[in-house]
Amino acid sequence: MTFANQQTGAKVEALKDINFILKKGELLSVLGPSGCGKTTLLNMIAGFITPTSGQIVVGDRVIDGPGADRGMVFQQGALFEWLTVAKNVDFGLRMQGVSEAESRDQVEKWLATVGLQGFADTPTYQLSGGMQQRVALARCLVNDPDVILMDEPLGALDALTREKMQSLVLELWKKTGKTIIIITHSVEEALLLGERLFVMAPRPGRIHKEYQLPFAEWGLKRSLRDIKLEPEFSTVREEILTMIWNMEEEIMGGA
Amino acid sequence: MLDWLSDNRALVAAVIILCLVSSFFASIFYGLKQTRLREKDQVFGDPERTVGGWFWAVCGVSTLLLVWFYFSWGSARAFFPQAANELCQVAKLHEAVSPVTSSLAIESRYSKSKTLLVRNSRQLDELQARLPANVFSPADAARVTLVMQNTQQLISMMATPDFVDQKTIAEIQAIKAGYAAITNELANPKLGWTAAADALAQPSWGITEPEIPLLPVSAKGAMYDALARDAAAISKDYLKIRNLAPAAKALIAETKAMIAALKKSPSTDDGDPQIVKERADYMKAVDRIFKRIDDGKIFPAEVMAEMQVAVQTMLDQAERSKGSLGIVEMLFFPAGDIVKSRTQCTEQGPGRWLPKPTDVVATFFALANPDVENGGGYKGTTLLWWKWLPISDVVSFVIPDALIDFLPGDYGRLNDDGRFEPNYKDWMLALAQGDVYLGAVPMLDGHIWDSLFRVLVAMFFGVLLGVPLGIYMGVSRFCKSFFDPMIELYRPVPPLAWAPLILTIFGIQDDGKIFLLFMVAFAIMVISARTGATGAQLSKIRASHSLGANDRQILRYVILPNALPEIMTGIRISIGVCWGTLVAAEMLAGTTGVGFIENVARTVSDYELIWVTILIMGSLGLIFDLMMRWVIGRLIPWRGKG
Repeated sequence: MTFANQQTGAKVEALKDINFILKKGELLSVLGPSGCGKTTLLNMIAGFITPTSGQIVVGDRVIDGPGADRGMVFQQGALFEWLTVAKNVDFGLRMQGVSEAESRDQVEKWLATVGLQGFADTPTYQLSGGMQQRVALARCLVNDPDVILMDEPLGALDALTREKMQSLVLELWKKTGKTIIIITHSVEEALLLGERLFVMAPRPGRIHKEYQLPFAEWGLKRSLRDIKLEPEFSTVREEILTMIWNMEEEIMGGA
Repeated sequence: MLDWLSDNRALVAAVIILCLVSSFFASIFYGLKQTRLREKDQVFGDPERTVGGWFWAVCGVSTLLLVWFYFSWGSARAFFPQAANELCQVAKLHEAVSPVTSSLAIESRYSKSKTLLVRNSRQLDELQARLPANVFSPADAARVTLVMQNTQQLISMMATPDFVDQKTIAEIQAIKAGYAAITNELANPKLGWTAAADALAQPSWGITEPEIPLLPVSAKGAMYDALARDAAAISKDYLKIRNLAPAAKALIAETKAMIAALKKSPSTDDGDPQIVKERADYMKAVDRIFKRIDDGKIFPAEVMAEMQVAVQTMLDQAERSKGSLGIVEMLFFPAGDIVKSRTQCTEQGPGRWLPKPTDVVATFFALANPDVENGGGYKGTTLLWWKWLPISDVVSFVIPDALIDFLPGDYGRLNDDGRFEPNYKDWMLALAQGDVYLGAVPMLDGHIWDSLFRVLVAMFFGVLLGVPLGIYMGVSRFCKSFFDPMIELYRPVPPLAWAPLILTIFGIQDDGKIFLLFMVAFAIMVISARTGATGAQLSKIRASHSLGANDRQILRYVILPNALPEIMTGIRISIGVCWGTLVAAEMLAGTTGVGFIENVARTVSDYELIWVTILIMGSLGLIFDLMMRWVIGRLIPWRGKG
């Protein structure tokens, strides 16, 4: 699959020669220096941007615009602040005309899953950043999408909340068996939340290196902090950090 | 009860002022105590420092009201109700000597005589310089020159003390003695001045027109009143004095004869109308100057000096004799004066154009009285009341008559015996024309309601049409670009610039004003709704796409609520602007409304009424805004927290 993003005025090749196949239930994390086209890749999968060439297929359907089969979680939650938590979560169901009784059960179930029991009637603007992200996760999951796309979902959280949320993501992955693509700029997060990991390189955006990692599986049983102390973890981390460091150097040197 | 309050405004004001002064000091005391308590916790610039502080609000309101009471002379009336009357009597004395003071160098730098001399001498010189030789024969020219020389001589004669008649000097001495006698009486007032019964029966200060009772109500006032009458008699004598010595009289007679001869004699010897006219014009100018001199009203300054001093001394003594009244005047009648004109005493300065607070309240209650038959309301309309609105009026307004024409069948015809037999269609027409009584509903009425109604109807349509268009302009490139030029072209034109056109097209009734206000509200609503719609975060729109919402659902459930804060702000702004525009539009045309009242009050210089309307407008604007703030707080609690 090859994409190139055509922007107004000059053509910029945002992505080039990107080909991959993701199995159902796989957890993929995408890492790369800023400007390497991570978000463009995600937006294309979501259907917000149409690739200039090539195609994206979910199941047996070629993607043509956004749809409820690909749920998206944004960095800042992107919650509807005029609605309560419950109304945010059942937004997708309401839009599809699901009956209120049915959606109420669903909402309760998913709020419990993300650890927000009793917050159903709270206005979202009263929640903390971590709680807002939990609502965003529940809102996405309640729609039962085939693929979940996460665009730096934990980027705006503090370190402690972030770690808790990482565990939650792994937990949800295990529980639901969904295919998840996570974009992040944190190397540790990419290692922990990726069965597969793409390290992307900029100009034009391309997949520089692919890893198969065991840490996400470990993370289901062990504490994430323990995993970070494993020598294997630090070896890969250092390798990727060096890789990205060199890319950044290259960009600065070339510019 | 209201009548009692109205008749005792001075007393009421005194109570209010005392309350205000105590709350002023109490709030300062309390405020300083609070400040000392908090000083330690809050550094300068901490936004918390401005939170709360109702006691300073009390202090501010008290200050404002006290300043109002003070500068409107409301405190003077509250505590010294007789002072204005006494000052009126003093003003009578000033009025009595005004013929003298205006002719002497008392209130001006030059005496009137001096000004006359200077001006006429200069005009004579100018006239002499442009003597037209071609229109006068040489003999005539010499005679004209002589006339002017005589006039000049007359002027110098009158300005010379030696030429003044002994009789005239004696008359001036008598005037001087008269004023001196008054000065003496002012300095050593005899006892026993009393107010007359009819003076005591006058309404008190500010209750009815004229504002200040004219007759003296106190002993001091009675003295000034009596002396003012004496002074007026003396001033009358003064105006009769003429400075015409025998020599001057002879010169005047001689010159007068020469002018008459010159005007008559040579006018027939040539027929050129141009020359005749020029000669007549010149002689008229010469005569005009002569006539200003020959009435003997010019006196040498030396002759008048003593009398001038006497008048001045009398006025100074009048000031000194005021005593405590002078102190009251200085302290409680700021920035103005009480002036006696022919028939009444009036407040000049802020006492006139800044009505006393209690008078404003009394005017408001008179205006608010719904009993139109007995002097309530204004121009036959109440301020704010209710009436029975016939339902048929509403029906006839809503259903156009032409609609009935489309009903099946024909209108009724005349019978064979010449009688009209209406059928159902005629009845429907009568209904549409409002001729069928359908009962009545209670409805608000009055000037304030008329103004409110105009604003509310205009706002209703402005929001109804402006918000959807604004939202579509926010989401559609076509809508934005297509409508943008139209709205941006008409919007910057001030509403009042549209007013003459709109009022001409729609008439001076409600429709014109409502349309004008609609234009204002519409533009603001379009722009705020558009800003709100374009301000939606892209991630929120994308999230709703990903959640499976279609375009209509996104518009209704995401973009509209997201724009709500801007829309509400737009409503708040446009209500304010509409209100401002409305009052101005009502001033231009119409027969009801708050602006109409002010416009009429302006034409009759009813300052109380002007201030009442200003205060009504201010309070209604404030109420609108507070209501909108409350609604915004309830409706969009997430504002600024997204």
